[in-house]
Amino acid sequence: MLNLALTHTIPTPEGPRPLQVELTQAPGERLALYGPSGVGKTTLLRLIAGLARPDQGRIAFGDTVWCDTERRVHVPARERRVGYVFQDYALFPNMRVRDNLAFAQPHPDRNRLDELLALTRLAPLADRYPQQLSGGQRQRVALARALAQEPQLLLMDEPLSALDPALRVALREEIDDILRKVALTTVIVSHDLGDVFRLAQRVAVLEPGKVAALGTPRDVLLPPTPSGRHALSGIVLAIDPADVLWRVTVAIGNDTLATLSADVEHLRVGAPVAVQLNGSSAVLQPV
Amino acid sequence: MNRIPATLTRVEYGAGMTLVEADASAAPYGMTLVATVVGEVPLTAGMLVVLACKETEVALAKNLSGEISLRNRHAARVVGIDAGTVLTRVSLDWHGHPIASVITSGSAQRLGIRIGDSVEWLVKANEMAVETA
Repeated sequence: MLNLALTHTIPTPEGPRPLQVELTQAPGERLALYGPSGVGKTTLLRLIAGLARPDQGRIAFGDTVWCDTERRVHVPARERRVGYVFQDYALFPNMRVRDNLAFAQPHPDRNRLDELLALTRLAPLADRYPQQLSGGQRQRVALARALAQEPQLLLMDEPLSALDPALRVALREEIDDILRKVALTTVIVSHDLGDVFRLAQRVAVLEPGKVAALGTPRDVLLPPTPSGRHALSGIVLAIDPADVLWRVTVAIGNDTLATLSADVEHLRVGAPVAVQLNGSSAVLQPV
Repeated sequence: MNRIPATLTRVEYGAGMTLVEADASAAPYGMTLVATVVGEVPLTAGMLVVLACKETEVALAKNLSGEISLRNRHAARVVGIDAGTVLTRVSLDWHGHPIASVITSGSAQRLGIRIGDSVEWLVKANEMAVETA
């Protein structure tokens, strides 16, 4: 069980900002830290891993106190048995996949290494170098390497954010499958709702300075009284005549949507626009 | 967007959806919504709201007979026609409220729609939305 209660100063473009966090995580639980950039998610992960020291507070895992500023206790990162999956993989470029994993093992164990390669579907790629792998394959190596450390706690920092959307979805399912099999206590940092709902059993929503909400993704992140009309934020790309109407093309994230509209007098190319979907009429197709 | 002031007359919460009935200019409307609130206020009978539907969701009929599942069908008078190659925008007067329907020009011709005609405009319950008044 992970227990932490700490305060720490987060550097932000607007100046230093204190972050106060109290969290308890059950053994085997997958907890997501969700919130906008700069709110302190990665900093919190680094504090748990022992890569940074909190200004004040206590971090304990089970019966072991990893950090207690009052008692001047700070267990070094290498002694915490924490597996850390970085956003940008952080693999050794001069080592083959197998060697990246072997290097992370606390004790050489060929059988365990083969198990991990099989678990992460990396066995056919075991003799390749990182630069010979795709982004998704590299992240699987990063996860396998973190597991090779035989951690008691797994920390994942935006593990899917470097991937394009299609690969992200596929790898998310693979990671979910792997995490179910290893049943490790895991903390996942993400600002992506899909990651949170698929990978986490509970979520801590971070806002500047604090944990704003803590609970299951459904309880915390689904609106309790939906308005039924969902507004997506977009940018108007083009307004073209379409017979007696106007064809308005809007960018929503990386996608574009064209719709017919009778009212365009308030729309401007390049300006933000709310795209409203009638909840009962939205058509959903798997992609 | 067509917008009509109305008063909610009945709100029935179901599993994951809400059936709402409303009265506008003494005419009944029915809507199925994935909603329990309008703005941030819970839907309740007696609430003043605005009913909204997109012009392209409004169908037109002349001399309609027999039964039809559509809940929202109302008689109106044609006050304007803007015919395009593919689509035609038909402007209606319904109890003093402007309503627009965009249908295909082929359908407009088939119905023989002329200014001054009496027509019925029809919207399915799930294509209507409720907005704050």
